[in-house]
Amino acid sequence: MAGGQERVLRRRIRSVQSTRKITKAMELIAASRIVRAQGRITANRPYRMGMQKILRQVVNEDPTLAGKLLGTPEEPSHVGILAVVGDRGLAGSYNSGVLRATERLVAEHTRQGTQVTLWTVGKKAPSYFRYRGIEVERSFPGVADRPEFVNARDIAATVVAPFVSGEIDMVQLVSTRFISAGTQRVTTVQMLPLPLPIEDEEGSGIDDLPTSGATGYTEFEPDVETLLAELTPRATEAEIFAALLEGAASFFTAQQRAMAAATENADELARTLTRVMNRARQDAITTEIMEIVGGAEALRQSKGA
Amino acid sequence: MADGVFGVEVVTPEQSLFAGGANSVVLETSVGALTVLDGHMSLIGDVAPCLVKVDQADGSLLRMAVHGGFLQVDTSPGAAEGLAEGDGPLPGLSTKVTVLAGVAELASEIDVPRSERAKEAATQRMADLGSGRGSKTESDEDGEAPDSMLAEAQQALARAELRLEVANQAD
Repeated sequence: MAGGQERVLRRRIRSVQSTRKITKAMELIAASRIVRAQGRITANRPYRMGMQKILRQVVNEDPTLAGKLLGTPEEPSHVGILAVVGDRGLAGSYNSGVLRATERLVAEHTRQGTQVTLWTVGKKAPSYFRYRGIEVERSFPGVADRPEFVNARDIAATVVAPFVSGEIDMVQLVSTRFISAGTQRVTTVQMLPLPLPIEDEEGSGIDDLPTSGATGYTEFEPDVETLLAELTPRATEAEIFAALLEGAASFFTAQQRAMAAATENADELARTLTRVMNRARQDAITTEIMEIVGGAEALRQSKGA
Repeated sequence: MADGVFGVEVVTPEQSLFAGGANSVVLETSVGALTVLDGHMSLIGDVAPCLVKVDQADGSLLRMAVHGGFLQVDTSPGAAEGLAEGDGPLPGLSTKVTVLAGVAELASEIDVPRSERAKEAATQRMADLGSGRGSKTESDEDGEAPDSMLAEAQQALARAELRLEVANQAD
């Protein structure tokens, strides 16, 4: 029966439209949060820049002393990896991008016989790695959406301790850098030992620092060695916090984009379905008219005979 | 610009607490008390948890609680350029003091009742941990060593005490 098809289509259109309402709402919420997340990145910048500036000067003062805390180990035997993803999905490739990059990194280290310890931020990470049989040493759920500095401090403590004790030779960070509202990129950076010269690939505005900050003699209080030992965890903390902030901003941007696309698809689908439904209804009407006309004709003929 | 004024910036990871001109900055490093005046030599140091006093260019005194961090006195040319006070950058200042702190707050923004509650809670926690020591090792079960929990409680107590000290002096 033709009317049945029309009803089925009508129901599907309604379902698509209610999904559209949800995706549209998520899009708007994500959009409003991007602004706040971006504001926090901006507010964090002076701290981060100041930290790098101090670190650079202290290191320049006595590079040999910095020894173990600097540079890239040639053949690390045990590497720690911190992966930063989101707590929630529906954000396009935001989570999967970082997770896949991390998985590749782990595989590469394992192939070279390097031991790997994995830490993750975001609820989406542990299940991904568990499914693939990769052990997660510790995960930090529930901080990805609105990271606080205390969270970064906790994470840094977990990451720095095995490095300082010598258990781990190198710590890498896999996260999404918020380059601009239009561009976010999954990057892997070395966190410990402190990579120097501190490069700025992420374009977060640190590149305008003078390369040799020190002019003339600088006093250090306490001595460089003590300062450096104190600076290492603090600098790691700052880097992790920056990564968390940029991750949050990237998450909302990715979600906004994904939900905008979903909304558009829903619109498109609703339009197509409406067209199909109208045709089905037209067909039904045409068939009905034909039946009536045919019936009337038959009646008239039988009466005339 | 008046003589003896230099740029000061106090920043935390969340915000810039203060940025502007000052006549002096008083704080404590792990080595001892330190007063920075204009013309101070280049310095990099740590900042112990302490009360930081900034004698602002307009003569008013600004107090804040800084819970540990670092300090840089930068005398390189153009160091204080970009430092904004109100709506314009400070021209002609060559010295800039940057205080980096993980946690810091202005005296006027300290919530005294909350700090008092935090102080009591921390004292209580320390007492509990202290008495529970040796006899039972139940606290090991939540995966955290009692030592680190004790250290945490001590830090919380120190923070609360510093906040109260700074807030009460401001009145």
